[in-house]
Formats: sequence, structure tokens, C-alpha cells
Amino acid sequence: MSRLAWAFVRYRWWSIRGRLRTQRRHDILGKASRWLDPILRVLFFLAMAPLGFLLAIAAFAVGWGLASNGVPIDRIGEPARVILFGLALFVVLGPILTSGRDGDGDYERLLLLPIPRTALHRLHFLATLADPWHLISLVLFASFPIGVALGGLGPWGFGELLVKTAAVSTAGGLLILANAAMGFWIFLLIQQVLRNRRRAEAAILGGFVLFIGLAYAPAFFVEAELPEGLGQAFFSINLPGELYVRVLDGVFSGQTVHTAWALGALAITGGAFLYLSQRAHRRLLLQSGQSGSRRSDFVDGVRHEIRIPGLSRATLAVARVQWHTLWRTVPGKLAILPAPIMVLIIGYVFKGFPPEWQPQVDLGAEFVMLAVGASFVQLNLQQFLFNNFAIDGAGASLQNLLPLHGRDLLLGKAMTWGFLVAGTVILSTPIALLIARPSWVGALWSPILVMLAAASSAAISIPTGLLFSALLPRYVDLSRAMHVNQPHTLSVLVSLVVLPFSFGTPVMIVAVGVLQFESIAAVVIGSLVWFVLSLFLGRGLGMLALDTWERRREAILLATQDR
Amino acid sequence: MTDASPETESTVPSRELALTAEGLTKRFGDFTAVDGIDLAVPKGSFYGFLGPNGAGKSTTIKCLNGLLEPTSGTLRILGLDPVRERIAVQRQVGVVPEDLALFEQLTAHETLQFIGQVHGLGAEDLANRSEELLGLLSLDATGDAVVADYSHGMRKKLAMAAALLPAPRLLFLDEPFEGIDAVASRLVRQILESYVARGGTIFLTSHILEVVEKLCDHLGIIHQGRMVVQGPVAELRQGQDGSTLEELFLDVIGAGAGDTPELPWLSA
Repeated sequence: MSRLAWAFVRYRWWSIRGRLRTQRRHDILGKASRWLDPILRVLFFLAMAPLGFLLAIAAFAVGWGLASNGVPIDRIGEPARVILFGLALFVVLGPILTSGRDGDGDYERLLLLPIPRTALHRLHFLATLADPWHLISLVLFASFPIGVALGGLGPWGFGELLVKTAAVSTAGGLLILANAAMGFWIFLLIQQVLRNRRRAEAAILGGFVLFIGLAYAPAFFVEAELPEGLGQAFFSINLPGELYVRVLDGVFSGQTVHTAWALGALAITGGAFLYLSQRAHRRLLLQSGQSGSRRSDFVDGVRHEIRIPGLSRATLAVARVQWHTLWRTVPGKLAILPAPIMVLIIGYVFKGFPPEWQPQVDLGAEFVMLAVGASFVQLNLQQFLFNNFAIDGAGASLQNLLPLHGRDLLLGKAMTWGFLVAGTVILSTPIALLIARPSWVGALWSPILVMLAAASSAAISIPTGLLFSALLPRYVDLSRAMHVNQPHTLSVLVSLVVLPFSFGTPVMIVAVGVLQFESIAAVVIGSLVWFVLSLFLGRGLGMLALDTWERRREAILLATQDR
Repeated sequence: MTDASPETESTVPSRELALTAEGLTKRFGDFTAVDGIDLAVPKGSFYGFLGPNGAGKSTTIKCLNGLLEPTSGTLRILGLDPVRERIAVQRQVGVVPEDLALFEQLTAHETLQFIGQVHGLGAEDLANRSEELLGLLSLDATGDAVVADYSHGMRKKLAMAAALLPAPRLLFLDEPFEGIDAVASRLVRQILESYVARGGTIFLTSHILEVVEKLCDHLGIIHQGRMVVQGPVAELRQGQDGSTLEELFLDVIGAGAGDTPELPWLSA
């Protein structure tokens, strides 16, 4: 088993090293881009180290306080449940958000090797324990017993100190294992669902609505009284976390039977999750993907082709293909649908805020809605907008084999993005505004303000996205919803810098509020000027993007093939 | 053994050429994938481009198709420069590339619609040709499923339909017979033969030497990035004492007669 585990570890490392070494076909920018991406990721990870350090100190302090009787156990029960719930969420979401091509999906090929399936499951599970979120848990659950041991030196005898520290340490270890098994099981279940595209779409969209509902549920109760004990009941859903809290309760209130019962239950829970994950693992490896077909009347569709004056057929064909590429993938749907839903919910939540929470400037609601709307749309679409060519996959080669001018290609893509960026903001924000603050003034002016804000945002973000897509293309696989489909890390940073340009109109609103103009006309004129400036800048960026695409066609194609 | 000499290359007939390459070179950093090859493909010929794995066949085709920019050398395709006049060349060329180059999220119908529109085919023409091609290649029943759900053979047939749709003057086919069933293989062969008979030119790579032997009238063999032999098949086989193309191929790349490899430990 240890030889297998070692082989497994080496397989993971070779995969990572191999990705970094296959650079011979790249130009200098391509090589720099491929090196920069993991470095930036490591820097992001290192930036999280202080958080782990703070958590370790906090855990140590709580352990010490509890053991020295400075802090009563009933005071930490509630916050502990919340923290453990957050940790479980982190553990469940972590693998889903970070699984990559060299990771989880490729274990199928190991089925061809003479490794028993149970061993494969164990190896896979052990590998997940080395993930960063589990390492953070390790820091947390290691420093807590140390705090308990040191705090208990005074009030407890040696035997009691040993038993209690051992119980707390065991509970921490069991919780890490139970959380890991739970996260692994859920990850495998999701993988299984995602094997069938239709089922995957339904499940992910359902999950998304549920997530939104849970995230915003408290906001709907701003003015209502929450039922007593609802919070505790909600966080107790996290069974391993709840059992861990029960262990602590037993240890620090001196109830040995209670402690032993909770520890046993925690071990059984972990074992149950591990068993479930094993079954899911087995099913996953033996299951093949499938999906349904699309109905369409092809001949009618071709004969009644939509034409737009001033735009070539090639441009419209590219726009149509880009739309299908997005709308027919789970990541695409997840990028398009949330923004309008979120904006509408925020409109409703905003309505429930007491007057003293509302922004102190007139048109404050417009500011919030526009800023939120434009930001959501842009952030959601960022992964596609800033990796525009790589998302086409093998289709990018097709585009390069056809008599398609770069201008038509980029214009077609820009059309789709314009429709998505501006269209979603224009469709959702005025409705949210009316929900937040129903007034005739808002109903009349908001569409104009929204259109100006959306157009300014699109005028800058789309050509910038095209430019960085050509400069730093990164391989993605949209057919796999669990694949990391983020653009290059540097592109992500640039997209965040570009975001403030979305705030043209909101900034005008705040400016006139601060200057006490109280004039909608001033906002509209200011936004108009902002839009013209954005358009001017956007045109220059668009030309630059076209030139860059022409010069880097080969590098982009190699990136789409992951070479 | 056939000599990789300039004399062999000079045997290319002087009729009009659909494709020429002189000193075509492609380097990736310090690795030379294609090393100064010369190509001469007559119009109306069925040209087989052979070579062992890693010889540089796909890289050459990618350079000819404009997917890769040659490091040096000159290219003429149908009398045009594919680097400077890319669009004009692509209007007259159909390609089945190595990776098939299909959008995963489009149906077969939508793929052909996209290609037809970019080529500027009229709506009526596009609809009729698409229906005919999909019917012929038995893809009409699955024409509304997305490519992501296609088998490898179905993808290959769709890529073939996509290449034929604009009725190109020159076809580049990278391993067109790999992964398709016997029925489809025969059908594709018939389509290609009929295309050449009507004046079309085909540049084909394949590892199935029997197919190349049956179809091709011209041959070029590349080995380690260099062209080792080129010319009409009939001329190349002269003086080969009736040997097969496989024997000629193995002979040219220096993998001819040798000791039978033995792995003494390999036994049931």
C-alpha cells in the first residue's frame, strides 16, 4: 500500500511538473504567462497564511480559556457551531472549485492499472487530505488541544489533563477525517451528477437557486423576529461539527459518558461518510457519460437566417456560435443566470432596509443598484470575457481554417458580450430599482441611467477582455463543469482594475449628491460624457486587441490545445 | 532502396501545381519539427504524405493550412501565399485537421451552418448541401445532438462534411480514415476518388498504407523533419521488383529488414 501511495504522490507531482515543462512550442509571452500563473496562485495562497495563523492563535486562546475555567463552555457553543459550519462549507466547496485536469477526473485512467478499486479509493481520499483547506483545519485543531493542555496545568490533575487533552485531540482528528470524507463524498456525488449534461444543468441551477435563497434568507427577515433557536438548528445540520461541539461540552462539563458517546458518534459519522464515498467512487468509475439531443428545424433555420444591416454574415455566425458555446455549458449558464437574479434579490432586500440604512444621497438606490448590477454581471462573465479565444477549444482551430477575417471574429465575439454585459444589466437593474424604490422618477430615468452605465462598462471591459484573451490565453474545458475554467490570474487582476469603469453613472450620482446639485440632468450629462470617453478608449483597445490577435494567432491556438 | 536525391524530386511532372513548398522549416525553440522540405503537388492529384510518428507530417500540414507560421521557406497554395493571403487561400481550401477542429457545443447542422455562412454560401445552397452531406455520411439522424456527444468516428465524418461543404479546390486530410468504420471508410474513399476525378486536389496523410496505395497517384515521405522521397507513385515503384508500398516505406525510412525483436521475458 505504501508503494502505491508513493506512486500516487509521484504521479500527481509528475503531472504538475509535466504541465510546466511542455513549453517548447510557446513564445516568450506564452512561457512567461505559464510560469506567472502558478506563481500568482502561490502568492494568493501565501496571503492566506496570516488567516491560518490568526485562527491558530484564536483556537489556542479558546482552549486555554476553557481549561483554566476563564471561559464557560456554554459561551463558545454557538460561535463554535458557526465556525465549524463555515469550515465544513469550505471543505465541501474547496475541491469543487479547484479540481483540475491533472486532478480528480483523470483517476479513471488508473483503473487500467492493477490497483484494487478499494485501494484506489483510499489513495484518492488520502490525497485529498493534503489539500490546503484540510491543512488549515489541521492548524486549528492542533493548536486548540495545546491551549487546553497548557490552560489545564493549573486546575487539573495529571490524569485528568491527559484524558481531557486526549479526548479533545481525538475529536479534532476525527472531525478532520469526517469533514474530509464528507467533502469527498459530496464531490463524488456531484461528479456523478455532472456526467449527464442535462441532469448536471438541472442540478447546478437548482443548487444555485438554493444557495441564493440560503444566502439571502436572513435579509428577508430584517423586520421580522427570527424564531428562537433557529440559528442553532440551522448550524447543527453540520453533523460532524455538531458532534465535535458535544464532545467539547462533555469534556469541559466533566460528563465522561456524554463525551464518550459523542466521540463514538463522531467516529461512526466519519466512517459512514467514508463508506458512502467509497460506493460513490466505485459508481463514478464504472459510469459513462451521456446526454440528450437538441431539437431544431435546421432547414428552416438556415433559410430564415437573421441579418443585421452593417454586420457581415460571418460576424453574426461567430456571435451565434459564441452564444451556443456559453449557453450550452454548465459554466456558461452559471455565469449568465446569477447576475439578474442577484440584482433583483438585492432590490428586494434594499426595500426592506430601515430608512437610516439607506444611502444618504438622493438617487442613492440608483447608485447601489447600478454598481451592484454592473459588478455582478462583469464578475460573472469575467472567466469567459478574459479568455475569449481559449473557450472555443477545438473550434478556435476551425475559425482559423476558415476564410474569417480577424475583424469579423472579434466583432462577433464583442456582439455576444455586449448583449450579455449590457443586456443583462439593462434588463434587470430597472426592475430592481422599481422594487427598491417605486417612483415615477425612477421609472422614467433609470432605464437611461442604466443604459449609459451598461454601455460604458461594455465599451471598456469587452475590448480589454479581448486584448488579454489574446495576450494570456489559458486552456479551459467548458464541457467539464468541475474543471477550473478561470482565465489567467493576471487577467483576473486586470478585470478587477477595469471594474471601476462600470461605475461611471453611479459615480456621477454620488458626485452630484455630494455637491448637493440634486439634479438628474447633471447625472445624465456626466454619464454621457463618461460613456463617450469609454467609447473612445474602448475603440483604441479594440484595435490593439485585433492587432494582438493577428500577431499571436499561433500562440493562442497552442493554448487552446493545452500545449 | 529509393534514393532521397534531387533527381527523385525533379521527376514531378511539370503540369500546373496546386501546392509548392521550398525550404519549408518550422522550429519550436531549439527543436526543428520540419527541416527545409520541398513539396510539389500537381493539380488534380491525390498526394499521399507519409512518415512515421513524430516525423513532422501534422506540423507540415498545419503550416500549409496557416495554423502555424513557418519559421522559414516559401509556400504557394493555388498560386497564393498562405501567410499573406490567408483569407483568399482559405476560401478555396477544405481541411480535416488532426484535432478535427469542431465546436463541442454545436450540433452537426449548426457546425455546417457556421462554416457555410463564413464561406458566404447562399441560404438555399447551404441547406441543400448540408442535408445531402449529412445524409450521405449517415449523420442526419444525429444532426441535432451536440458534437460533445459524438463518437470519434462521427466527429471524423462531420469534419469531413465540414471540409467538403464549400466545394474546395484543394483538400487537406490528416488521417481521414482513422477511427471510422469499414462502411464509412469505403464511402469516404468513393467521395474522394470522385472529387479527384472532377479535378480536385487532395493532400492526405495516413498510416494505413493499403489505402494510400489504392488511392494516391503521388507520394511524399517525410522522416525526422526532412523529405526523403517524393514523386509519382508509379515512378517511385519502378525498380522495386513489385514490392508493396509498405516495403518501400520501411526501406526509405531505414526500418527495413532487421532482426525480429525478441523479448525473452514475454511469455504467457
